[in-house]
Amino acid sequence: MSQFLNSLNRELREAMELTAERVRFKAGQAVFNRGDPGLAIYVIEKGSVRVHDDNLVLNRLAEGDVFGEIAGIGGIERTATVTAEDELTVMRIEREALYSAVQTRPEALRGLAQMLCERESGMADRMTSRSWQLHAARQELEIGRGIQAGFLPAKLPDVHGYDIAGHFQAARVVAGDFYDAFYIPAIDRVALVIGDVCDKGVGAALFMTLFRSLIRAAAQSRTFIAWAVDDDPGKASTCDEQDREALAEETLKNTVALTNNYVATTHGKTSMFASAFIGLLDPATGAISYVNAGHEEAFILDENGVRLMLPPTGPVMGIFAGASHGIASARLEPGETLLLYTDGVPESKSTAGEQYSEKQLLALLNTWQGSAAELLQMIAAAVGEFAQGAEQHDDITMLASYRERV
Amino acid sequence: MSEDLQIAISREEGDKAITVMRLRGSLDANTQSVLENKAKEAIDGGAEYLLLDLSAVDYLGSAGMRGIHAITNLLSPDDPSMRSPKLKILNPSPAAAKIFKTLGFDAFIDVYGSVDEAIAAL
Repeated sequence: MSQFLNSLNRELREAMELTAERVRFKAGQAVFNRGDPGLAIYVIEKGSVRVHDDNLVLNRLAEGDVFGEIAGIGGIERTATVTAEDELTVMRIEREALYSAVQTRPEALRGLAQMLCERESGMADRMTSRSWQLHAARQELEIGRGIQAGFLPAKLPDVHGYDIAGHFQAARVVAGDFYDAFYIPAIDRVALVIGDVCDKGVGAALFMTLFRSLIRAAAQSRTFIAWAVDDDPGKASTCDEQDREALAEETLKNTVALTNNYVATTHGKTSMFASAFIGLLDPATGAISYVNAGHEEAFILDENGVRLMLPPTGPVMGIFAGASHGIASARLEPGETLLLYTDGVPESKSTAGEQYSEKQLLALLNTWQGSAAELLQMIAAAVGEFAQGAEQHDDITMLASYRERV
Repeated sequence: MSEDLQIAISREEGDKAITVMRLRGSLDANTQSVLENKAKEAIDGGAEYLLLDLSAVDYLGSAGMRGIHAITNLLSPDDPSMRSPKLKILNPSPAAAKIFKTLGFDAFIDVYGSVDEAIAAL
């Protein structure tokens, strides 16, 4: 006799045995589906079942276990699906029949109440265990967030005559967006980078760390190699300006080709890609050589708003192996700002589902005067006010570089 | 939120196994798996070429573009070339055309104005 039936008082056990009918199921067959009306409770005589919600398995039960008692006795909808894992024989006890049998056995009613309380207490234990698992998963994500934060620059480079600021606001715990800014001694350029990995969540976050690392490593490769050979990462910066510009263009080309082709040939099957703007700024002249790999147009702002837009010069990186990316150039004049942003800015949504839009962003930029940090604060505040507490659906990331007036 | 994307599927008569999928609604992080699953079903069912009609797609995000690229991987798993010979796009809506252009997908996945035009190019 089953462990479950043994746990009942004698009168309830008799009432159950009296009303039970034996039912068989084949492996893979559902005993009942989520949403079905609860008409009966089941005791497993032979075989095993899984309790699940689509692909999410909530529990597995075997010989002697009972299932379906909450909806079966309460008469509510089934809260999960139960499927036979192998040849299954169950005792099916119908609610109405059980009630009739219980009416003539007062002690059976007490047994029924006791059984339900015991089952509920067992369920509470499982809930505690599940909420503990959830807590552990959250903690893992939180650790991931902390590690990912290390893939954003801890400190932006201090460049004489420039004011550089960044803004990063993740939609979820971990993010697919990134920005980066660093000085490359070997070619005397400041790299200004923004990127947006497609999709969201942990997958996007993993690829964010990959793209950001490849870009930084490739862009610094000349520096790092010179360092290993000569102990002097800044040596190449002593060559003349024309050579440095040629080196800067070569660095850009290599950085994009290495990053794109590495990800496309190694991870192309995942279809994960990133759009990115990679600019190399010559601090002495304000000249910027850049590649825009499928990213939003970057802006050069003067006191009247957007003076120049820097559109894509090639496709996104990571899926099109061998793709070619053009190198374009622009100049940041004194008093102007280079603004890089991800689509989370213009595509921010209000509670009504409307988008902030590039149009509103452009109008906002017409009225701006101030430092790089103030500019980013103003945009973030305007977007936040527009969203009015609506759930943030994408990361919001920006990088601004203001060239001071002499 | 899979109800935000509807997909109507039809097969073209002819000597090539061509399936047309007409999308309506929003193709984004929430719905890209719906597209991928339907495409997989069609390919498992024998489709060799897929034409995606995007004329009624009112939002197409980067996650949706990932879904589209995933289909090119399903159709041509061993094709190392960048171009997608077996997936073609029909009539993209302005929103869809804009992101195709921005992300540079338009250089790798051909876009046609009609089913006949696309079939003629296969």
